[in-house]
Amino acid sequence: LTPCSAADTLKTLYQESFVSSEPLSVTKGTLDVVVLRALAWRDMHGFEIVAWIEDGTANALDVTDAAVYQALYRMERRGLVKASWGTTEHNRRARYYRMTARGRAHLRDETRRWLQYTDLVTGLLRPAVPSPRRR
Amino acid sequence: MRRRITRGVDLELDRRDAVTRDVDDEIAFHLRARVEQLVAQGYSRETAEALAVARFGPVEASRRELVTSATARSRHMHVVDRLEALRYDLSHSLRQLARSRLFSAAVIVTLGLGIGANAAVFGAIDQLLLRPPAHVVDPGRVVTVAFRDLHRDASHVQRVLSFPIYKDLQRERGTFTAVGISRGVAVDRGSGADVKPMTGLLANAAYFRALGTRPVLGRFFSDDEAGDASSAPVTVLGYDFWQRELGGDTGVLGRRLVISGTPHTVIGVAPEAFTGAGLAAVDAWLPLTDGMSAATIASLATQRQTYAYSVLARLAPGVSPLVAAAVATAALERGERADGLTDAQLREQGRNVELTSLLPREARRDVPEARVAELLGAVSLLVLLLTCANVMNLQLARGIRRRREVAVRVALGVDRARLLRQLALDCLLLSLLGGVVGVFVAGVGGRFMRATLLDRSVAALSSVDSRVLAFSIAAALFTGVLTGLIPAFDALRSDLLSALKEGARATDSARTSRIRVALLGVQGALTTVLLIGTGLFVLSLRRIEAVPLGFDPSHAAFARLNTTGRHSSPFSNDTEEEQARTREQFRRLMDVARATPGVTAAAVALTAPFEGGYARGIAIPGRDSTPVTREGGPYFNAVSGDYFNVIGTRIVSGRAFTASDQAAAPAVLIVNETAAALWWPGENPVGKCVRLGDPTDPCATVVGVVENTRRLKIVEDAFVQLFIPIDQASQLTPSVVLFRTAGSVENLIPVVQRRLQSASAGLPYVNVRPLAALIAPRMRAWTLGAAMFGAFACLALVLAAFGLYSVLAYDIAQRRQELGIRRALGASTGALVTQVVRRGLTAVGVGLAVGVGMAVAAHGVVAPLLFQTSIADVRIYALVVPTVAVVSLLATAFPAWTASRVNPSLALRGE
Repeated sequence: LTPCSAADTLKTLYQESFVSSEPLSVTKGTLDVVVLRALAWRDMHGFEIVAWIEDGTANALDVTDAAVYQALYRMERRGLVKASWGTTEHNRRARYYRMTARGRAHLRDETRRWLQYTDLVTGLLRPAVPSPRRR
Repeated sequence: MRRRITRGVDLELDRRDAVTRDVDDEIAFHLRARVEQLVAQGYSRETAEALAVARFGPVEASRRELVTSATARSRHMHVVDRLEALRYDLSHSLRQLARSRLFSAAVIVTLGLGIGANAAVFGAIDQLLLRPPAHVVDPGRVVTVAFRDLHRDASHVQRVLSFPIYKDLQRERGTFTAVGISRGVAVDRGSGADVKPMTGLLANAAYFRALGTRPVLGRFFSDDEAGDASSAPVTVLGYDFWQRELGGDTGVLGRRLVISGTPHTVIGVAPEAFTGAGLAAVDAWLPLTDGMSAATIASLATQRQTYAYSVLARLAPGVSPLVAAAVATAALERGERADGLTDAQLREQGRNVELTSLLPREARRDVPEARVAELLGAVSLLVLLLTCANVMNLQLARGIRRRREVAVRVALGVDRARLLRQLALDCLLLSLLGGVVGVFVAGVGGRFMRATLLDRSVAALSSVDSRVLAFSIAAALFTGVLTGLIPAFDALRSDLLSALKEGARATDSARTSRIRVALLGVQGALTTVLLIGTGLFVLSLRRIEAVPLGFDPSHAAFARLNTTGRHSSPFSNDTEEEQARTREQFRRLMDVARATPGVTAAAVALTAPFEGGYARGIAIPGRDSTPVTREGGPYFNAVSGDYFNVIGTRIVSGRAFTASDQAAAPAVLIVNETAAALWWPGENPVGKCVRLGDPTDPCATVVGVVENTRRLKIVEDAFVQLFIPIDQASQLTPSVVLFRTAGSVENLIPVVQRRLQSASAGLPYVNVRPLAALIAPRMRAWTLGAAMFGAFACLALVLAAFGLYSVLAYDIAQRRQELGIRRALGASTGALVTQVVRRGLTAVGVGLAVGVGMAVAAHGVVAPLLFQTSIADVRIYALVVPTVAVVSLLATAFPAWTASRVNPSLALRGE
């Protein structure tokens, strides 16, 4: 065990304690994945992400703008995204978010889980034989 | 401290401000972007603004939530950043160490030796001076009892007491909750040919109560077993003995062990490293009256003048030691009055009880080994300082080489605090590695030191425990900070531009060079101090060895024997027949020893020199009292005819005892020179009368005077001693067989041992030892002082020589070019060499002078430990100065040789 690897371990431990101390509810988790999906495309600032979600869902998803920012801040703390100030094409100062390697891994895992989950639930909910009574 | 807290709070506030600003900016940007989007979709500005806020959600609550989240993140990032920086610095330091492997090894080994020597000495001091005896509850409340006869000899403290004194104290229940009494005895275990010696301690039940010790197995004695009456033989085993001889068998309770010929039932096992109130290991604890006949026990209470026991007591709650001492003094006086002493006699002696607690700083203040250990502590600290000086010098030398690297990093914008931290980390890493080496050194050195300095039970414990470990770490941190500070500041203060320009050829700045030469001087001074100390102790030791002992131990050996299976005591109270049997047995053993080829003479005696002695009251006709010296007494011994011949004591006048001094013959005695001079000044003592015991006892005639011999110590005051023929010593039986050999005594010891052992069936183990073995422990303080000082001085000399060498070698490497030019210009080899070594040798010379000054100034500290040796002894300087000079010259020889071989063309081309 070199001092360097000891410092690394310490760092990881510290971060992990940070993450595990905050369990995420399903809806929050879902929003996180959606936001990450947006950032998989390119680096964006908060409003771009909100606009991307609204475009993709034709405004049908009931999410406040503040919830998106909360998701971003939460993921920044967990090291899934990284933020830095930059300028927009209109030369305005905006906070841009970039997905980290950890964020990418998280997105991959969560997407797979989400698809499995919806497949299972869809399989259960879709009627296999049309109901005779309705006929 | 408060400033640091305020600073911490300030930082926290700053961080929160910055975070809040960021959050506000981000929300503002978002709202503006949304409004623009809505306006572009055709909404009026007012509607757009209202909609934007509505879409966003509760702005103020969200803002608060985001700020909280961001603050937590920022704090977290701060820690991560710090860890990241530490990781970087550490890996940088490790790379540095790996790059200059030779330098690192030199520093680590140097520090390891310095720290290790200190940790080993600390370990010994800890056990000797800092730690109370093991397993004693509240040792500050347990006192050992001693007394002083203020009006007779106020300087003599009587620590060995008699049984009636213990009884006197035992009555003071309000002052002492428990009064313990004990006496060390040499016993043996097993029977027949398997007999082995072991150490025993006779103690009463209250001894353990007073100490508050609990056994690990079974129990200690009950009052019935170890009171004032005889009972079934029992024993409590020492932990070490139990582990060593019985394999730590937990079923040992109830087992029977033959101790001194009698089966003893094991009733308990004492805790590990428990040595009672003393430091000596105990194999078996035995009841106070173990092996005593009922008659002997009954007579104990009448023997007020038989000093054979140690007494200790636990003070009752709330009783101060001073009050307790006053109570004890009064109790003793009452006891003596009851035993028939008159008020006038009591006044004349002015007996005063002194109580000393078991706290090490009080109890072991006067132990010579403790004094030596204290001195060693100071000496090892000097060595540590010397080590630091050496490492600092190496660091400075490397600092010069690293100046360019530091300059580059400063130029690249690494802030100076960070750089300082980096340099400090380098030093700390080195010193901690040195500490690791030091712990190993302490492990080896400590074992050796304990074996010589402490008793074997203490030596059995690990020499590196948690306290030694903590000390090593502290010492490593101390040296790390000390050796790192100056080089670090030196590196930072250096001129950036010139450092960059000079490049690898960076030369010693004048200031650094001055520091380095000063450090050489410090090393020289410290080494000189240590060498002078060694000289003082070696001379003391030689003087001690030359002290006339009054006997010649070189060709003599002795065996203390126990033929009765009872613990030896001069007042055995055996029946007449038993005593006659014992005398007869000893006479036979003496004949066996004498008949051994190579043995020139043999004798029996009550006791041998340095084996302790017995005091007894006597009366001299025509004198009111018997004057004695401050050493107490009069001491007496009962010996057979050849005794003085065997131990090599000269008869000054008169004659030795002969075979005709039988029990029925007229009573005779021999006195030593001190007694002769004190009792009959200016007269011929031969023919005088001495009454042994009371003034009513019959006369014994002095037939001879012998030269003074030592009694217990090598350095002691004169004392009065008298000898009586063993055959005329009623109530007394011999316990020692002595013999003298023509050739080497060591070779003959096993032969005599075998002969004695087989001469008498059922005899316990006959332990034959050279007489010199009794003297060696008495010289331990000086032997130790000389050996330890010597070892430390050698270490110091090596370190200092190494320091001198490294500085000069480095200098030459730096000045290669300059030397080359001088050579090309025609400078002679001699001039170049002189130039190089002059500075180093001057420093050492000044150090030598300062060292002598320091030694003279500190002389008072060592003086009490020396023996007839003074700092003014020229022989010491005749030893020290040439040693320092020769070693310095050797250390400079190689660098000088290198300087003389500098090749001008190569040196010039090098650039």
